[in-house]
Amino acid sequence: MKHPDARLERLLATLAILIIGLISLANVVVRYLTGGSFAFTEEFSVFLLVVLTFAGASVALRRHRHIRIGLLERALPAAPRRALILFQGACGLTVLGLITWFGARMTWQEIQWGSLSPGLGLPQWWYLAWLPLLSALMMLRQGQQTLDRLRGRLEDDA
Amino acid sequence: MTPDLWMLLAFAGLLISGVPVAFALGLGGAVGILAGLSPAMLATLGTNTYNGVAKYPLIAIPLFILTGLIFERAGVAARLVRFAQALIGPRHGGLAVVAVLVCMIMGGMSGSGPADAAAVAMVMLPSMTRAGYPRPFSATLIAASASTAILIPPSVALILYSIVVPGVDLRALFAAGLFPGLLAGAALLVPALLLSRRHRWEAPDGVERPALGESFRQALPALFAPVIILGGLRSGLFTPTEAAVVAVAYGALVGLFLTREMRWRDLWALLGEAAVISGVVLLIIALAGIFAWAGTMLGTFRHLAEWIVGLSDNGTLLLVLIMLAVLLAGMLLDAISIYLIMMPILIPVMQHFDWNPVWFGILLAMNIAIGQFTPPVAVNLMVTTEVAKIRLEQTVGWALLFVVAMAAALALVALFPAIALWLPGVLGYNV
Repeated sequence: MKHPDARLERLLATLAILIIGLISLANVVVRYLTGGSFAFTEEFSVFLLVVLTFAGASVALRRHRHIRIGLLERALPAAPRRALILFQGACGLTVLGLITWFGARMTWQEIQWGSLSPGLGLPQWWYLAWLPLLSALMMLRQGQQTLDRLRGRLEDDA
Repeated sequence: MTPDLWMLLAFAGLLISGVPVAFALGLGGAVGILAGLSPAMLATLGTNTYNGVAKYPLIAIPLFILTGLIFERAGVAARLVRFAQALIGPRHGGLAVVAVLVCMIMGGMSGSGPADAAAVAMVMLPSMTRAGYPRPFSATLIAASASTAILIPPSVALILYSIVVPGVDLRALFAAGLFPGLLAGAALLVPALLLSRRHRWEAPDGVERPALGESFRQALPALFAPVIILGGLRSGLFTPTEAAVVAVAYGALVGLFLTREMRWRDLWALLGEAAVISGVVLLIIALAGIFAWAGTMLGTFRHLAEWIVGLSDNGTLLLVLIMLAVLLAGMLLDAISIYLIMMPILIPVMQHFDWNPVWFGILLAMNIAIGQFTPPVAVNLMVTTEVAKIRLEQTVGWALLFVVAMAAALALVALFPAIALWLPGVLGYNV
């Protein structure tokens, strides 16, 4: 069995967790040396956490590693099982489609309002745009994963 | 059908169909919104999904996941095993004690069970099998002791509990988990030792005992990790997030320069692995936000809570029923999902009966821990049986024995809340 991967998202997620770690570490060091903290970094760390979530989840989606209950699926014979895999794929696409659509609408509103972030004063949509972008990418990964499973090229563990 | 029922049935149906928990939560919430509110309100799938994970306290979760992965890769498990062997010496059941101890120390570095179970099983199973323990027994024992990781701080599940339940101090929860975790481990040892003696597993002679001093020196860097995490939290030196990042840095230094079992390239791969595991966990948290929002707007959770409270005036009876429900859920799902799905319903029940939220959180965690090694769906057991190359069915008898043992520990904590609440009280945390 091959282990497919989503390299772009893996890179993004790895960078996100690396930078979060470095910022947090720098915060501890600075606090001990100077007694002060740079609280504005909180805004950036929280944004990176969102990138980490959706990029990491995208890799997991491609590799079929999300937590789920596979009891029924394993009990089914081949034909209804294929139908179930299709249904699972359709559910994933639906929820990701809703997130992409409403996430894009939310981003568009922020562009028009021109609101700035409270900490760093950056345009708010710079942060928000990552949600629809990454969830759109997840739709692609969901499609690839469902195809792979239908062709029996992806293990069903857990 | 009421919108409440639509939402709950949709969620349950999706879960059974094998849709990932995260997507089932999001879609269930969307069904509730369509059935009981207005389609315009689906806009929450944009805002709530983003805001569900854009929370500063959640940053501790990926960092503690990374800590666990780094310490496992740094080769500390084998060193801890040698030290514990030197300490205990060859005797009937000696290796069983070693396995439980090492699982608990590993639990003090990482926040979740399955990874610990895999690390310890890979190191211990060959020597336990050589000493005469049946493979199914060893696999089950390791799976059961690794499940204490969600009780022994740091615990990813308890971090989440402190975020979901308002007004609970994470440091108090961490402190409260320590003694119930140790008690659960001790409870597993009782049947393990009795069985080893009766079946005369592991003959005391003919086995070389590692030198105590040398193995202690080797294990010292690993033993120091829980000290940094817990000591840093206790002294107020670090917040949980800071403790996590300091532990990551320490673990990386140990692996790269002390044990030299990790290279820079491995560190990069581990960062990616931690990010993917965190993505799975955090996506559930993000989409549970939609479910929780819809359930609150519809009043679903209030109705369910009122229904539970209406079942009986007897708080003890209800507590037992809730524990059974959570145990059942623990057999099917992971701790994070269970807290997210059940807490909105259980918080009003908890307040109605005036249960202490810290104690209640620990009781739930113990239940979930038991569920992690109860067949048929037992995450930890799946990992260890995979390593042992045996079928899950072969472990059922042993598993039930350990379930009973740990349930006894759970009953003790339920009857004597001080087991959980004494330590945080002494340390001066608000419980």
